[in-house]
Amino acid sequence: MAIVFPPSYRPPSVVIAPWSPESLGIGLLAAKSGSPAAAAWPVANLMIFLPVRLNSPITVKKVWWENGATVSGNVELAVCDAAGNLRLHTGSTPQVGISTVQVADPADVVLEAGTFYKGLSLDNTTGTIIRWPATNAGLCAALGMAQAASAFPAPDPVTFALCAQAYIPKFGISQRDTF
Amino acid sequence: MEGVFPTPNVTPPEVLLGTHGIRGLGSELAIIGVAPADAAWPNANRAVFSPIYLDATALLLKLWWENGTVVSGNVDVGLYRADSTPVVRAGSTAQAGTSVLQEKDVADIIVLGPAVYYVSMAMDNTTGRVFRTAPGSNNVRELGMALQDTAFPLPSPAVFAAAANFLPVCGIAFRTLVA
Repeated sequence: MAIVFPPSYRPPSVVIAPWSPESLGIGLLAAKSGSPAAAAWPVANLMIFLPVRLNSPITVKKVWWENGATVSGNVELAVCDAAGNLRLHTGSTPQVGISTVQVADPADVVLEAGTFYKGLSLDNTTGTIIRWPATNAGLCAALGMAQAASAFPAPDPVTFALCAQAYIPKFGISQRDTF
Repeated sequence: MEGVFPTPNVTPPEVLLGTHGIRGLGSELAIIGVAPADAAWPNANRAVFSPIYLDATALLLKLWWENGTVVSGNVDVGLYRADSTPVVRAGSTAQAGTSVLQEKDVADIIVLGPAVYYVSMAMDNTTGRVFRTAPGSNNVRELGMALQDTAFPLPSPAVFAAAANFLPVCGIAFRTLVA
């Protein structure tokens, strides 16, 4: 009788944030130029993407972003595959609740193992999001970040452009309903 | 019996796997940049849950936590599955020994991996102190932590609620040498 152990790997994080190993991970420590703080969204309708690399499937049950001290207009959070095909999105959602984690509940979606991008967009430049300032946009691009102009709401498919923002927003996805 | 050992080119699990280790929230806490410190338990009978990302099957031998400068009353520690059912619970244990790791021997049990688990700790009073990190009230949610009140001794199953800003130093051990 052969005993074959399953392959060893770190399961995906329960809540995938920018600091999670599936996203920017410890690279965030090298790219950020300060502590996370509220900052106005840099360009109306711009979607900023962070990579999400999954070594095994997950079910996305909730999505979230962290609002700053000023809320305004609407937010769209999307997840797309490496080719830019939308896998889930919140649709236009009013930004509500200052200095707190705002949670949205799109239909549960299973993401298989592979590379994805999570994207966040605001339809104005008054609303603020908690974000890490980066030393420069090039470092963000070097971590795999991307962006898309005129992406509110998210188009399907998304056309990725090189990241031109030194702005790392705090947002993500959750495998748990309550967090 | 024929055996196929080992899984090639993988890092074995940590010998002590805890909330602040690399298979806990270690890298995320490094990015947040807040160090652990001594603090009183925040609410009597509150249980705190923190995700553990076990990358391979291992034999759990003990549970442990780090006491602060005052000990009082009783502690319970445990390991839960992602579905909130317990794998093992220490049961009510008198807190003993200031500013040291305290261990609790439990019946040896094989913990299957790769899988997500939660290390849990509860205390029955707010006089006893432990080493803990306070990463921030929004951050603890984004780290995948959870809590349950009126949860001493640790319940079966747990009912996860949104986390509070208190992450104790505690965990599980795959070796007998702990404290």
